[in-house]
Amino acid sequence: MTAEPTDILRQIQIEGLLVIAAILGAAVVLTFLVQRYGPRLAEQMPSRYRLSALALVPLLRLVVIAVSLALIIPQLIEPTFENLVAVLGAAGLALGFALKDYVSSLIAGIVVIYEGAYRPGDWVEVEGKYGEVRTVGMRAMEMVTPDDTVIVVPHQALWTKLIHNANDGTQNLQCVADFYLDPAHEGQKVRALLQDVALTSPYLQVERPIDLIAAERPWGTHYRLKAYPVDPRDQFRFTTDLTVRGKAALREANVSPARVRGLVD
Amino acid sequence: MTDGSTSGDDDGLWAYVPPSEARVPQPPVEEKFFTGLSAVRETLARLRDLGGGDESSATVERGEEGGAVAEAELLPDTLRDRMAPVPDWTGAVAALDDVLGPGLEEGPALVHEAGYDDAPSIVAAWGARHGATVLEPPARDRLVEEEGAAWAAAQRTEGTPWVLPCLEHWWVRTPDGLDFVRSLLDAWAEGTLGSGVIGVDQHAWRYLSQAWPGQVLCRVAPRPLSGEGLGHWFSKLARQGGGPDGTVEEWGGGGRVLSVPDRDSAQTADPAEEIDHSSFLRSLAAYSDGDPGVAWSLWRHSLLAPGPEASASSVAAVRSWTDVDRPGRPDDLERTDLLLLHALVLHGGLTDAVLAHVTPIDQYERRGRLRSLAREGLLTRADGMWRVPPLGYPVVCALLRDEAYLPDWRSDG
Repeated sequence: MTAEPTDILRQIQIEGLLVIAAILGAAVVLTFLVQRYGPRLAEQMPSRYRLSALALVPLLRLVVIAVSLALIIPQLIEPTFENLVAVLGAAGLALGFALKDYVSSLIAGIVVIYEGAYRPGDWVEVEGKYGEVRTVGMRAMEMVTPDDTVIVVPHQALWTKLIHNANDGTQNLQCVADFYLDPAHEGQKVRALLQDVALTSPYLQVERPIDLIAAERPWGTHYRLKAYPVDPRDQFRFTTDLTVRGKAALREANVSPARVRGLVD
Repeated sequence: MTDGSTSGDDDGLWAYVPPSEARVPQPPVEEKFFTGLSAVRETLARLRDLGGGDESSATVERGEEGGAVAEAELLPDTLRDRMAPVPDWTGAVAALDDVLGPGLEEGPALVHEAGYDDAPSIVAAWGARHGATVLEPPARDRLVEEEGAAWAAAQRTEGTPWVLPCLEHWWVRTPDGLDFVRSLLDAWAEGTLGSGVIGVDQHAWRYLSQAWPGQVLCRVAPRPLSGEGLGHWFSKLARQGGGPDGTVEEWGGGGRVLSVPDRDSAQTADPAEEIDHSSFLRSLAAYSDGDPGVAWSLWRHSLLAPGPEASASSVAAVRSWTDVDRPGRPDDLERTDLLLLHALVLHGGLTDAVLAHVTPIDQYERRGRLRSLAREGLLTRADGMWRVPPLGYPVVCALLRDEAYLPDWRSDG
């Protein structure tokens, strides 16, 4: 048995329109409140809970939209299986041709929330651009670079681009400070010294590991000091602190920096 | 050492246990409920502020609540000294004796002690009882010129035990400031310094244990006092101080907080009768994380003269817990505040000059923030040294735990 085309859409009365308008209005207001106050409220919370609270914002917005659609659709069409197949099929065909990329981003947006590829508060790199995810919208996410530039990245990038997430929804974001030293030095001494430089940083997350990687280069020795700051937002201050105090400690220990210019890898 | 040791003098009030077993008391359920309600109210107030509403609404409401007991009078100093005299800590020393033994049979021992300003050192009191040498640290600006093991060896007397209270004063968080304490701890653990007991703030130790990878076999912490334990202890202190027989009640006709029976009947009194009907002491125990020094300071600070509604047996009163004047989380907390508070907790207090070395904060900003934190009751300054006061210590530690600068209680192994 197939439904007559005239049976698909309901006879919408003025009451029905009012109900739909009320649902839409409530959805818009709720989405606005979640978008506007969710991140601000999360910023007021202790650091330990900030990222978890931020991650709830896109999820709550998705729930609001899904519930609104679930309430509005039965107001517009007779909710039979045949009607839903017909309407969704027609809508899919139209969207597939006309708004392919847009719909692809919308779907990727849902996948992003489900898989947690990135959340507000995460530090991500997409196509060489690094920054903190400010918002995760339906179609795109916004990230703010350290130079205070907002970059809008469509969720569609999830399908084709490599997305590097530095902290993945946690407080743990590894920072690296590089030191380029003249090869004529005592390696063990430098190693112990740089470890202590990291250990005595006020930004350090003490119970996370501190690593030091050394590599010989034609121009000298390259040390990479790796450690975790307490708060990912302090990563640049932390790296600066490691660099400045590391340089001072090395100078005091009479360890010279690499002198050859232009050969860094 | 897995079992806690208790002192027999105080019905098991004082005990030392492995740090992982030192469970802090929880606040009463009704306090959790009201705290939750307050948090919701503050959240709504903040949302109003964010939306451009009246920014003083939360403050006004708190002010109205506090006004209800504004006419309460403080207890006269003489009576306060009798009701809450300075503790002599003999029970705690006896409990530590049970753990360590008079001759330090367990070998080198580390005892956790809170590192706030003027904190009682049970380790020092234990040392005094056993005639041990109390080691003193060098000035912090001389730490880098000295060697820790040699400094300690020069002070101790061969053949007698020594105690080193406040290890947090023996280091400074700079690359060359770690060598001193590493050398000291190495010599201590190897036994080359003889028998010695070290007292240290647990937060400082969590840090130092990352800097010095040695093992300490005997490490104990005082078992936190519960509300009931505080009741017994405060009663005993009042009896020892010659406080009048009677009760302490919540001001304004609230529940009974404490009974102070006379000395003769103290031994026969039914313990169940001594338990208060107010949850004040349980809230106090939770607020102070069971630390007796913090709890005693706040208790002494809270004592008031009985109000007009007090019963005939009442000799003193306290405000209801929600109205007790104590430091709270600052509204204008900044990230630099956390760096400063963290450094001060780890070192047990620092001068401004040393703070300049261990925190990367501009001097004018640093001084401004220190003054601001002092106004909030979270810091105090004496002899040029900034320290966390007893009443501010639980708030500062909770703040630093929330902001992930200090590890959670439950993670101490």
